[in-house]
Amino acid sequence: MKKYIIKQLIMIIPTLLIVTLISFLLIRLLPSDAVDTFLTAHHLKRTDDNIALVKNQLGLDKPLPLQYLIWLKNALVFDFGKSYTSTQTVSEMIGPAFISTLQLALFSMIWIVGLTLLLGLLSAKKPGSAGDHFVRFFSMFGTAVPSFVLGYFLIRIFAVQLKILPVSGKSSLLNFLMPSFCLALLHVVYFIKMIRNGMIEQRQSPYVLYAKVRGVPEKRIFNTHVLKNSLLPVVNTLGISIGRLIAGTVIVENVFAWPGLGRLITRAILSRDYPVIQGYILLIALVFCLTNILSDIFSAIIDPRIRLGEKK
Amino acid sequence: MRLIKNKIKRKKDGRMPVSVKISIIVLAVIITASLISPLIARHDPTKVDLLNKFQPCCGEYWFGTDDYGRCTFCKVLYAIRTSLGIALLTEGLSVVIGTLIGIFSAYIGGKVDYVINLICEALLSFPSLILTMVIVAFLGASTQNIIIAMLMSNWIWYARIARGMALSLKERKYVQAAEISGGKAHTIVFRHITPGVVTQMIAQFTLAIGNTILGLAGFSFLGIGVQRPIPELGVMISDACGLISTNFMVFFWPSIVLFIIVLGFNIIGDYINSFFQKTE
Repeated sequence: MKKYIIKQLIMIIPTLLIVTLISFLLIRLLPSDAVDTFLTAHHLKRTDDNIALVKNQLGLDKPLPLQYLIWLKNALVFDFGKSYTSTQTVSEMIGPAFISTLQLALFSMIWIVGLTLLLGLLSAKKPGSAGDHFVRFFSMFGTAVPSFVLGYFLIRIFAVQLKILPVSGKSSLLNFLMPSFCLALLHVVYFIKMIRNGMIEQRQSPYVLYAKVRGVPEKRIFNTHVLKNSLLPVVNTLGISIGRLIAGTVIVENVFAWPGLGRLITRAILSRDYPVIQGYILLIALVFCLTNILSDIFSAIIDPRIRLGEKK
Repeated sequence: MRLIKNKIKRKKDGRMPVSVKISIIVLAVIITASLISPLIARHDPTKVDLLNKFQPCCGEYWFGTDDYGRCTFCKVLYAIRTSLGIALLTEGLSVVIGTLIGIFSAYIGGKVDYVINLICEALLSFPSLILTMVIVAFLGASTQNIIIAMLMSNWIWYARIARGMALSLKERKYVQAAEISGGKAHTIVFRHITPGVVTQMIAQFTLAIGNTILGLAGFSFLGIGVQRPIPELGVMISDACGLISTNFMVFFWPSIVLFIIVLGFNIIGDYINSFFQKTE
């Protein structure tokens, strides 16, 4: 297993190199000019002198491969240059935003685990019961409601009318409740479906029949055999969903004015702040690679049948 | 096509759940209304009329008016047109492109297949939301670019399914028989492999369309999708979100319509898919 982990960790490097190379080339090849963005952002006039000055300042006067190498060298020490639209450096902007988003994502995990267990068991214990119908209704609702609509409805109910939760900002734990719920809902629905299908499948497997024949009580079969086995795929996917949560915060953060990555990248896209976009892409790619490896390791620990690094 | 017809015929044997019937009727009404919106709409959805702002729901303005005195009902009608039109266009094109690339990749095989598969795997490891956003980031935010970006991130999913299906069909006896008896490549691809793939692709399409509508509205909400002044549900919601504490109804109508449309498509998609799973 150690070998496998080391190999996977080494494999991150070429992946990231390709991601950075593509994002770098795209930015340089596209018609919209970085110099223009910089000039308009800093209210400078479009004179030849100014253009030359900005080009020199941004390092755009050097040949393309050299530009890439310089950018890469700086990126190694988390220096992605200066933002075009603000005076801060990119790492100064991304760092705190990433931490905020990570907090939100982890808080959502609490919702996900709690709600999935509660509703998943409610639905799977007795397919066709009232609880099962309620959960299916909930799932239908969860997949169809847009997270921004849900967010504003929650704000209207809990912040405007009942006045028990704060609208936006990030000062207390109460602030986490609404955004993390909006973020978690889609994942909860996904996991409930997984548990439900898993339980139905497990119930029909031979070992359950054998246990029944042996005279093991229904309740014990459910708790010791069916439940554990149908929770396995959920636990395996939980690791990957952390990456998806971090990447999926864009809309929720904009609704609740959360000072995280999602709001940062939306603003960067609208103002064409390319250094920020590049830094964001690299960070997200890294997060995805790491969470994939982590979830591999995690599922190998939990499920001894999985042997990492062996050919199937 | 014959395959699809047969499946629909067999479907008639089983009874259709009430929820599916209701969804079909509601969606049919909504889509027809939006298609003939110039006939129904009594007001110009972009006309500013500050004297009549924040009118409540009444006979003249069915859904009331917004902060510029524009009729919300008329705006919603036109918005459904844009939302559904763009979503169906991008998803439809994605299916066609993805299916073609998937089938050809599987049929040609070898290095071409390997490279295409590698690209699909790499791109699919990121959520499509991020992929679309990154493409928009490079192209710049505009209505045309969001269509291109959604197209570029959606076809991959279909290509992978089509490739898998085509690979298994290629090994079937009847395809091999066609090859041995000297069938031309395009005859084999279009007559023997494509029909088997297409049915599965239609099932996938019905499942994905609700998500695409949601995605488009989400991007428009963020300001990187459909641009003002084109009426679109996401744009309308984004415009009205500042009014939720004072004039909630302006926000309520486009949201609830978006929710109903997506819910309808999801229910129908689920039904069609469960049906496909049963027959296989």
